[in-house]
Amino acid sequence: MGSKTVVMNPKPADGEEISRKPTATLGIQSDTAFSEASKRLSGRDLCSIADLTVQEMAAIMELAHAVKANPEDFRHALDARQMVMFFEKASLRTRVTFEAAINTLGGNAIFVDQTQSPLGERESLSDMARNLERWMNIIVLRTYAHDTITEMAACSKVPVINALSDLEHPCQAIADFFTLEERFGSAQGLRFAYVGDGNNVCHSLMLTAAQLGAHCIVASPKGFAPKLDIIHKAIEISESTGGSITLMHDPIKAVTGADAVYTDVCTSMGFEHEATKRAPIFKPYQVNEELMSHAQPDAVFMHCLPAHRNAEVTDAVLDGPQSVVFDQAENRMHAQKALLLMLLGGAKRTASSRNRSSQPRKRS
Amino acid sequence: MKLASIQAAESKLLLHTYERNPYLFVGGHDVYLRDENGNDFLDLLSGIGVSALGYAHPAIEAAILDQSKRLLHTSNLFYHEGTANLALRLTEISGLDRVFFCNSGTEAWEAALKLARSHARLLREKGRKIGTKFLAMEHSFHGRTMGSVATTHKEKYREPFAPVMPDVEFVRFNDVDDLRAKFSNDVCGICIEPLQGEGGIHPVSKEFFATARELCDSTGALLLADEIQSGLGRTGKWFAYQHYGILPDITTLAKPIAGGIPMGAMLCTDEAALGFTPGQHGTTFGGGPLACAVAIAVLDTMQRENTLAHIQATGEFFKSKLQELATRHDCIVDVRGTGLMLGIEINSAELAKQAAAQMMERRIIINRTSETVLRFLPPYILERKHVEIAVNALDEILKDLAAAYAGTAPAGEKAHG
Repeated sequence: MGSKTVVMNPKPADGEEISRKPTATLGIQSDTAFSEASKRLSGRDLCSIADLTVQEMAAIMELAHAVKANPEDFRHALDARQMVMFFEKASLRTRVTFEAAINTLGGNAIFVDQTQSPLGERESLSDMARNLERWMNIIVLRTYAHDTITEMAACSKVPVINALSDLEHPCQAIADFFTLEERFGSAQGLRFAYVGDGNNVCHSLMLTAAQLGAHCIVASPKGFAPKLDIIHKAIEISESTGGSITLMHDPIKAVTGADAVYTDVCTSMGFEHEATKRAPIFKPYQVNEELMSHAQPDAVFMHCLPAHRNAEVTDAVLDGPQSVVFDQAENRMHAQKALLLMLLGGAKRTASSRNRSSQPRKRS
Repeated sequence: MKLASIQAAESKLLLHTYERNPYLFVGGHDVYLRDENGNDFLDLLSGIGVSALGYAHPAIEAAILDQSKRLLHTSNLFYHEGTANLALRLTEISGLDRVFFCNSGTEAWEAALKLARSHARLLREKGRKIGTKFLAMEHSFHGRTMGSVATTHKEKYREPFAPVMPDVEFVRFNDVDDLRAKFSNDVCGICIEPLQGEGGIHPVSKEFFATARELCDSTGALLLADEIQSGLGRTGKWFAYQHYGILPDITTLAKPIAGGIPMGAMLCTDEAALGFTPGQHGTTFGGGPLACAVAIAVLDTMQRENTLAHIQATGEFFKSKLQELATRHDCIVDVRGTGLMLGIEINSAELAKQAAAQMMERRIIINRTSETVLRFLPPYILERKHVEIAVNALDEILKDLAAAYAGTAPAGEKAHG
């Protein structure tokens, strides 16, 4: 007996060609719409991708493209703005890209290493927030518990950004779908296959895929599926965008015909004690050349990094011609610039962003 | 307290819901129950399929002892280490994705019915055309609570409590044409026992089961497999549906899961699981630390000792002995079942009743179901020597009774499969 494939929402049947005709208009269509999304986002928190509307996500994407294309247009957009970063977990990309982002927008970053001292331990989150909001314009948190982020957001008058929690990694997902938009013109109708642990990264990717109208297929081992409430939310969103969410256990079925194949480490930060137990369970989910051969010939390989080489992905794939992992890493900075601009009220529409095509991908 | 005193006290204190047999059991070991006088009874019923590892199994004793020293209850408002571990084991062996723990079979079936209704509601909200009706099977038995009893076929279980849950229609079991005729967009779930127990040990046909799967797939209705009696190894596979290569959307487990400690479970696919959101369903005791610890011990033991293979081998031997018996006794009209879920159909209800009673007098416990069927649900640890003892006894009993019941017309319903 094969494991049953569970397709939730409008089908892309496994391996079948998916219509790339948009069923909903996702791109920002007018200056007014962009301006309204910017206005709504100003001063807001970003704890979860689900905090954003479809239109707000589209506005962030559009701004990210503009910022990347013409960084000088935004050189002083956040002059003198102060950003503080509290990280309970190690970081390379997130820390450096956030610092680079605020610095190049004219602002300043302060990094506080909390790896030895969990947030809320030395003093309450509420007291922390009441201090920080007097000095800072925005707070960036990387935590173990998602509740830490939502609690800080509730206590703080200045915006709070989730820079990774046990539930989500929204900044990563925005950058990843920005990368897909760069590559394919639009995420709408793309077949996006995530293979591996239904973890925080997977959660944010599902929600982002839903908001951008992509078909998201998640193949995970038994017991490692995404959380049910996130699946609920992603399906709900995808209903308005023409996307879909599909869960299964078979990695080959998942990547068959995929435009993008994504994986993450088998053992996320905080679950290191399970590494030995997880290794054999995740072995069939390794993204290698054989697995990639089931995807579209021009499919991209994606990973949020750091990668455990020859564990969840082979060197040949990670370093191969289909890999866009370093584009993703670069785009963390551009996407986060867009986020900072939106949340701090520095967003503006430029000629380049206005003229950006948002057409569905055309296959050659 | 002696049997007579207990009988007298119960008659004044308990609701009269059971006709009890006049035996007082005080202990047990292996496949034997021991009465107040120290007599051992070979148990081929195992508490209606519950005591899967027999009596006083050291693995179960150890699990109970260990867990009882640590934690018996937390409520479902908090975590303990048992639920996720057990759920992972159950999803691995079932092919399904998510688990809801409860306390009994009927409670598991109630959860399944509610989930199917709620899942259909979600589909309707998305614009799909799907109703609230259940198709249940003739001769089915799903339990005693109001929803379960509504999907149970026999009128005596339903009628006194009418009106029971509405929107249930019964289909002739294994009649594909009847199933197709009664299925429509109004149906939110098809309820099937892959191997009917109470109904007289009747297996679903592959064609019927496959048709039910196909019909459900065509509309988004769910296929509900009740494995309360047949599940968790009873038929020689973890689940009876695995003999057919068909995966239901929901299945229910209970009897043998925790080896005698009350426990039930409903398993479902990720898609079906979307039907419940927090607060829509619950249980106070379900998935408690003790039941989970014992269930894990049962699974560990079965996997370590390769119990499924033992069930298959012993079941085949048992069935072959019953088939031999049938060649010697005209009163046996059919031998049915798989693994250690077996039944023989007798051509007379009274003869079947007498045979079961005389087996009891010989200290061998079996039971009679569906009036004419002698049912065997022994512990999984049953061995060939026990089979021979039981079949030889039955052989002698039927020889004695045959003369008295010679010429009795067939009673009850014959095979309806």
